[in-house]
Amino acid sequence: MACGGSRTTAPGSTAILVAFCLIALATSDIAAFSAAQSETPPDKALTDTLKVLDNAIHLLGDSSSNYRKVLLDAIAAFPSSTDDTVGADVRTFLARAPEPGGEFRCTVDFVRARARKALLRLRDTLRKDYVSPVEPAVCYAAPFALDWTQAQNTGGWLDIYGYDFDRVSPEMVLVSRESYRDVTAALVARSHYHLALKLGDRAVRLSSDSVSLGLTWGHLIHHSISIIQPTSRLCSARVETIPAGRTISYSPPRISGDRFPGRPGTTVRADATLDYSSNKLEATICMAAADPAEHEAVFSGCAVEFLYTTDPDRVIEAAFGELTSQVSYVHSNRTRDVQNGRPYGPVRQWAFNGFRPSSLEGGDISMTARLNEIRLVSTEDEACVSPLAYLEAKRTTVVDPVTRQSLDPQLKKIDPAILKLRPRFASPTP
Amino acid sequence: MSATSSMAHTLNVTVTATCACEYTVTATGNSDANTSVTVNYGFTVISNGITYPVNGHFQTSTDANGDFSETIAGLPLPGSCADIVSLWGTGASLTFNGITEYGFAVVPSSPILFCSTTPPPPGKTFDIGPSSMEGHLLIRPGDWVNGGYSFVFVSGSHAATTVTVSSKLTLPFRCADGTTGQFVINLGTHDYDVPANNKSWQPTGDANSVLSWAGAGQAPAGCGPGNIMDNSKGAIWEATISQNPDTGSLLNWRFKYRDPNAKGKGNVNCLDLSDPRRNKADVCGASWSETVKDP
Repeated sequence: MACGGSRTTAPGSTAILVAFCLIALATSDIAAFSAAQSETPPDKALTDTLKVLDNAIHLLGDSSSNYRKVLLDAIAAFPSSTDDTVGADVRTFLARAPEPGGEFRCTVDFVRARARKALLRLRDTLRKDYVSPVEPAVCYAAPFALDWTQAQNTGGWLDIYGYDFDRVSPEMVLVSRESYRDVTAALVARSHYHLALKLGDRAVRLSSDSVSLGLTWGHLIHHSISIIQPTSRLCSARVETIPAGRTISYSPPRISGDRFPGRPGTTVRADATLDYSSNKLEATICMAAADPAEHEAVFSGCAVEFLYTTDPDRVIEAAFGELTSQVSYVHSNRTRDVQNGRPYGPVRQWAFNGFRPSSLEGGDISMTARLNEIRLVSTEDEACVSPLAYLEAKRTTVVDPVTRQSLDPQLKKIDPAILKLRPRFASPTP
Repeated sequence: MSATSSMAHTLNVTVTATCACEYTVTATGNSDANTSVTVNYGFTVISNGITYPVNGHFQTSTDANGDFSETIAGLPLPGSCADIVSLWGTGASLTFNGITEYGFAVVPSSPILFCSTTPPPPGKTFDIGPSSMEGHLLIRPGDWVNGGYSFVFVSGSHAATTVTVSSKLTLPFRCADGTTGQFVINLGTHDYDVPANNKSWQPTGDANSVLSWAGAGQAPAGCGPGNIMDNSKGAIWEATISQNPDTGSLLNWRFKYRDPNAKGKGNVNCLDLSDPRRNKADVCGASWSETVKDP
């Protein structure tokens, strides 16, 4: 088998365009793949920029944070020597970010999560790490599941909300029990965060065989909207539990200095955020430790840790409890610090190791997060309607009485805890 | 869609772009009667992932009612217009009789254009990842890196077909000196004959079977001879697939990878049936990635 290695570093080519144009976050990826040169020792401008980014990434992990304020504060805090593309990237995000409301029916949590993801990408680009292409995301659809009868009414539309739809070529397929059909001709891109599918006036011809509509890009279905019919079957749904005690560890790289950040007064912070898609659960973990003295050692970074996959024919639709835990403290003079997490976040206990206050030698510091029990909702992914989607459709739209009569009794078989849930980024008021 | 500033006057600016890399700007509104007005406008174009600000201005005149309407066509749009082009307005202003009013919106009539004319490749290509099922790996030059995948027809009602898969694994790494890179393990091209109505994972649903691995390759010395490559991002699996005949049915896909040496299990090629170590689950066992659905 053939193996070929290549080494890449600075995003040199991005700077060329800075004088007259903003560079989108995606641009840097291309450069990270194509430019090739040796990394120079970390300079102060880069270190200071990374510190600002790390602080913003940490703040955006807090669900009560105002993402606009965090990003504006970051722009203001970037040192004057920061590469112009960094500030431009953040400003581009702010210019493109929609306001939740009638024209964008997702919570601000979704935009905050996208902002955090954008900063993580920016961080990886500056660190010359691998950066994958920008991946759009769907946060909500209205209606969330499609009543077959209502969908064919004159003037009917399906609205899909998300982010960065302009980074790909979105397509729509109508999935039936045995095959699928391209219905992209009825898809309209209203903006980079809003796609609309014309349903009425026979724009999309549904049949009794229709199962779902699949939003596709890159030759994969990334979001499905169930089609509800009187003959539909509710999918089986179950609560899956990952027992407490699972640990995830991370050792952040040094980004400046050559001594160890073990002195009393070193500020330490860490966070862990759970995320799920398809049948996979993963955690993004970040840690930073900075010596209080100027020009001293700073360790910081983030990593994505694979946690769990459920059965391949199921999808994870929800998680109970908070998805982020954070910790922040000032180190005293121990070699190991233990901090307790909160019972309703993912992390039960944080342990920080490797502090050696008296040593002049460099070394690795590390963080180990011991997790609380994690409870997920997984749903069968076959020719059926997710109970969560059906309930959301009932809450927010009119569902044909005959269809309700057929499907409502099936809800009795579903765990009551699941029936209380709503889609992750659904607005509190439909 | 239009906007009115807090002033009494109005300005509606619409921008219409085409894949011929041109745009038309239309401004209508109201100001003082029988006067000259200057319209300044700005919008942003993202073309091929690059963001370009566009600014322009033009003059026109109002009629006796203060109304004006002006359309300018054939203006050049920056970028190559070769793939996806998206536009969003940044704002407009209206200047007349020495007064400038700000805060008007610029509205693209079609915010996203799909301008790709590239013919689709034979088969279709998609990828999964980066996924870090194997955790943080320290990969040594010469390590066997194994890759595998499996797929299943979503519907139990499909024609018999041959599924052809050409795929590769990409593993990004970082060296001790801070340089970064990635290496590729080619998993080759394989044909899988799938009987009609089959709903079993192909080529096997048994993760311990040698058939679950499609290929293996030895890691290069990406950080120099003898130096470790730090892989914390996981792996990306990219596949080009085709069906003959095309069944028009959905398929579910997943992949896995394994560097037994990085796990302290010995340097094992999981496709080498002569190596007894490959039969041990802790040596060549690996977690599957998430499942993706391919239409």
